[in-house]
Amino acid sequence: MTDDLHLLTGAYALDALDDAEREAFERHLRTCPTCVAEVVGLREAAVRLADDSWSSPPPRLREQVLERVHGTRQLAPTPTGRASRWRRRAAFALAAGLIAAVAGGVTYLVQDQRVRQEQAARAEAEQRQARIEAVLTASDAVVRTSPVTGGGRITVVSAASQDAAVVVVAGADAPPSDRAYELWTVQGTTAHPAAVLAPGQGTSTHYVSGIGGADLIAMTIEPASGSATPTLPIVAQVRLA
Amino acid sequence: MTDGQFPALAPAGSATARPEDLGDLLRQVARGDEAAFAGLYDKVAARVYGLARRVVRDPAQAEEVAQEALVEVWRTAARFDPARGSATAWIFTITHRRAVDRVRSEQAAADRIQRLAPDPEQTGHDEVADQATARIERQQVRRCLRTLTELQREAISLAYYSGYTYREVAAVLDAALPTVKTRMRDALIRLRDCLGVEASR
Repeated sequence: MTDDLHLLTGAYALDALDDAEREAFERHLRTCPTCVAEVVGLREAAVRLADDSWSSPPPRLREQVLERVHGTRQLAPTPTGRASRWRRRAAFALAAGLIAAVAGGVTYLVQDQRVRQEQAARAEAEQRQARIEAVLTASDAVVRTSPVTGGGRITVVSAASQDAAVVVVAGADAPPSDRAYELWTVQGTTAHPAAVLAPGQGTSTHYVSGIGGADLIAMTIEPASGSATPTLPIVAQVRLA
Repeated sequence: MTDGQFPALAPAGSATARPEDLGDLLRQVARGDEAAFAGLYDKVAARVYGLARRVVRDPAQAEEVAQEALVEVWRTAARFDPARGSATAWIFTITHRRAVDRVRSEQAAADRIQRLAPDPEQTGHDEVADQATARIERQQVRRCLRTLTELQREAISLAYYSGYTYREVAAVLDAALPTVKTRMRDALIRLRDCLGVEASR
């Protein structure tokens, strides 16, 4: 992406481009996954500006709209190819951007293990990378993110088709060296341990399988080796459905 | 692996604490469910009309814009893609785009400079707005807006509430184009981080 076009993400999210520029930028978006990821986030912020503009419409509006809707044919979904490409790009860009930005990312893991010449571990890391990519590029991948208490964010890319999610914890407040963040899949009131981050680490990427039926992914702070039951409070949670 | 009991799912300051069922309603709407659409209307109409009113000013035109936007929500509901943002973002993007198109087609840029004065009729005390969640959300937005620089705040207000293009914003604020582009982006990034909005739902 060029810097110039990339800087238009804010103006685009605010609908502050004229028609010609909007079209040009939307063409650019089709080839710029990082721009797509940024636009998605900025748009969420921009629409919150509407929160400050409540005003009761005239009662007749409801009748008029419902009547028009009754006589209006609905469009079919966008042809799947395009929608899912967009989705894959958005999910991939967001996750890939985070992964690239953090130590403990997939590439780092692979490189680290190459250095140590551990063939078995390397094969495992490559498998892990393949599994992560399968989630990120799944046609049903959905990206959700939430702040972590004390700072940082947790981003979850989940794909029901893979029965798995990729969880990226970035910039969370580093716990003391004898404590670690632990991830849980939560179904109802039952929490299953999903992964334990390295002690003292606030940035990491994890592949979590078996998310079917889980309502959310939650994170707590536990002793360095992890716990079988979560210690409250929950410092971050992301709903899966 | 053993399972642990989660005695209480405290939200812990998470952005997911707020129930988001607009997405569910929208999925039902996409299947042609008119009753679901009526439910969706009741949830969003005051914000859709309020936003249209704020941008186009004229109540009669705002009503038309709100109607067009809501019918477009119905018509294109099947094209809502949760991976590209929340249902709220989708609905208000449609509304805002409609409102902006209206002011840009209705008036020359020069006319719109006249509309900078605050709208004295801007409603903020109607019964819908008195709902606790609405109030909290509004306070949160206002608090976050206060963390922006003056230029950032003006740039996004002129664009979002007055429907100005960034070129017009640059002219009004007498600022360089790249500066305005950057300020808009920086302002939204700061707002996004302050609000803790989810990138997607």
